[in-house]
Amino acid sequence: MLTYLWLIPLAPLAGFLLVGGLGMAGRLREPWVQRLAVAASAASFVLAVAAIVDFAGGLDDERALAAAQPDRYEVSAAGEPARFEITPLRWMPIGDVTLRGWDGQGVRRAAFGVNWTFALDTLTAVMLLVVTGIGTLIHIYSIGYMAGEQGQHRFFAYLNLFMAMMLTLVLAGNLAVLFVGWEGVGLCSYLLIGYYYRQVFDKESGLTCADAGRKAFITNRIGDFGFLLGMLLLLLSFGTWDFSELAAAINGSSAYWYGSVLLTGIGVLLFFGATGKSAQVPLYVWLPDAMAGPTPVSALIHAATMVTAGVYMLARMSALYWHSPGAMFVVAVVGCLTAVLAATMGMAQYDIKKVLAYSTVSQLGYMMLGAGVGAFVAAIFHLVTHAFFKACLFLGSGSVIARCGHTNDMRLYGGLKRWMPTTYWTFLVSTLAIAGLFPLSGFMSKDEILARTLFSFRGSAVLWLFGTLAAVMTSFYMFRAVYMTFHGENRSPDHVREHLRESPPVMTGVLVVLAIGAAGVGLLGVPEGVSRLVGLGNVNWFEHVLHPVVAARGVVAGSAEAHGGEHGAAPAGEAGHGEHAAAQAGASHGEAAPPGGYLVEGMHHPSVAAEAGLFVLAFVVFLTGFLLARWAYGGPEPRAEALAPRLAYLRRLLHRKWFVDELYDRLVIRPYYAVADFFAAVDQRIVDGAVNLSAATAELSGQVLKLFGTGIVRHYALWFMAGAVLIAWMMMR
Amino acid sequence: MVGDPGPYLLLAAVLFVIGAFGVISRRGAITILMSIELMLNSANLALIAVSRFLPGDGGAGVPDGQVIGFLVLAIAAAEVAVGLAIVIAMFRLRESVDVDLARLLRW
Repeated sequence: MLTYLWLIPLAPLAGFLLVGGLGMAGRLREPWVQRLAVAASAASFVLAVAAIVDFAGGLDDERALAAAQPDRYEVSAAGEPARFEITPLRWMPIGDVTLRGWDGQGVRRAAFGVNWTFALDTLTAVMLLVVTGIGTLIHIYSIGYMAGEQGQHRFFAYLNLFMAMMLTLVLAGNLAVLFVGWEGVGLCSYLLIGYYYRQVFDKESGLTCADAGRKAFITNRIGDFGFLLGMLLLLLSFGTWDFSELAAAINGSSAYWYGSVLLTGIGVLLFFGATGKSAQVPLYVWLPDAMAGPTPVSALIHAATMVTAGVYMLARMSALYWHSPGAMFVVAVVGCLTAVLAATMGMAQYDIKKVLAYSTVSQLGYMMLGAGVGAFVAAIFHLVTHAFFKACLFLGSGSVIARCGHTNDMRLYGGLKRWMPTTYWTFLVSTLAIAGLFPLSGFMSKDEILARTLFSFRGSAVLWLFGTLAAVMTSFYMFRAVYMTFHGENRSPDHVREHLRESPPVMTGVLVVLAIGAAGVGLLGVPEGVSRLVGLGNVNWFEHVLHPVVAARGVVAGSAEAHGGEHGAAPAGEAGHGEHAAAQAGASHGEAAPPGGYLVEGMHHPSVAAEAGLFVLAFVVFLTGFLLARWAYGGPEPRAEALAPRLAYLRRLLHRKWFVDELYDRLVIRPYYAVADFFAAVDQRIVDGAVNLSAATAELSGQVLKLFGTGIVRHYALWFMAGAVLIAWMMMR
Repeated sequence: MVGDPGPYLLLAAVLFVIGAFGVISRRGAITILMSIELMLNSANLALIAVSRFLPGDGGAGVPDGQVIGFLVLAIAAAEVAVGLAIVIAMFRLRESVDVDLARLLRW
């Protein structure tokens, strides 16, 4: 199946064309729209599983193939992490580009071309399973959620197109193909946010769903500008966009590249693209408004898959980031800041989807924090667990919204546990998971990220402290949502309450599957510290599988052995960081990156007591948030209401999201409009004025001259003769 | 120059001015055509006079001007034929040959 890798994104693309084309022509009735779309998505899931099974079975068959057709297939060399690459189509044979010699090899020309290259390694495999698996589940859920909506073919066609684009993104073998997917998912996000384009989404600001879509698209474009600049700088420096070639070029001259300003610049620019796509400070503002889309879209695009593209991209470019501690520091700080800021905003929202949206932003912040401190595996692991529990939470909220008269306002919920038990229990399991209760998935991934933040050579205690603070808030706002939605008295209007009932099995079934995933998927990646506490040794399967792809592989001159990090020579794989870091036990942060700049992956090895302390602390964090929420919102008469007047300012500040939207309005949007107005005036007054002046001159002269055209022949004769006389006089003069 | 063509040229000029004045001042199409004939013939007169008095061909002058005179006669005949046709067409349309009435091409 590996040679048919390109079918994976093609299946949903075919679904998009079929559903969209036939649906637009009105030839497809509702059940068939749904069946086709689900089938297309399921097909790519089956294809992905088949390809991954083949991949896991070894690449020996493909080695022969690659030797026979080197243009078309490529298999990584022995010692490298396993990687299969296929180029089904040539794309842009651009020809020579001039490299600027920034890599120290002088100005030279290099042949450059872009092809449709798809590659499969373990990182891609993980993303493939998440995207197709959860994507298919959400397709199925949509059958129940969208029942009775008009124009469903539009919805399902876009959903399929999104799958195709996201799969292109994760399968891409070079940055150009990745960028196609990157822009494609942005487009689908825009189309789906604006699905209810006639409706007003936010009554406070009068924002329509179409506006929300535009906001998402434009914000993403700002980030993409940075991303594109980063791509072009990469091209000018290395002459290739191929991931494996880029990694080889950087790892090949580690000592030269380590800490290079150019690499840091590229890293920050690429990360700026990721802040747009993955909703980080400063470009996170679009994600909460993206909740204007139908709830399955929020679950699939704005929680489980698309917004994680930035994290995936960082992991994909890990070779670059390992060589640029500066860029990684920026990533970590921005991620941490996002995690905290979004968590505070999430605490004061009444719209259940906005709570979940800010929670998503916050969790994405964790992933970025993980990537920024070098815990790429933990970041990807959090991506996976987050995909499960956040998809489950969103779909659960969708189930509630659909039954409560399509309102998102939690003040109109309450006590729904009685009517919707399945939704309640799945929502609760996912809440426990995201809040970090051992042994659910959220604990495993979040704890891993926080532990790495504290102990990794590139982490710091300050970042860890803020990350932990955000974890407390996570627990608080999630339980707040649970209490407001499912506990207490029902506050729905009577006509809604009379019809309250559980959602159909097609929706609850998906919820149950996702809840089981949210509970269990964490066992794939039990943090090393935890497993050692229980006396199991390192059973982190996820780390074992994924680490080779994102490991720091630079070959470092000089004291490489002495520093013993994950350098190129070290066979990556079962490599626990412990052994490598053991050589450095006791080394302070300052000494982690020795003078001259060497590549170091790994972390300070914590004592068992510290591990146990962290374990207990994680539970305390969970409990603090839970008890706070229970205290404020749990009782029959929520104390939050009584407290509200005293905390009015804080509440207003958080509810209005630190006034960031207003700040952007003043700082960016209005100056932008002012500049635009100025140039519009220049265009209309001066440029158009000049054109109009010449036209007016011509017209005026015409008006004067037409007075001579009396229509009387004798006048013409007179003028003619006068002219003749004039000419005769001039000639005789 | 053999002899003096002055009086002939003076006569031609007088005829030309009379014709031009007729074209400008009269409203009847027929009269205007006649005035144009007058102007053409005054030009003929000038051409022929000058050609007769130019030195050459043993005092018989240069024949070129007289040849041009014939050409002018032929063209004048064609012009009058077309002009009269227009005048007749106009008369049928308006029962008048007053050129001031024919001002459709005015803006």
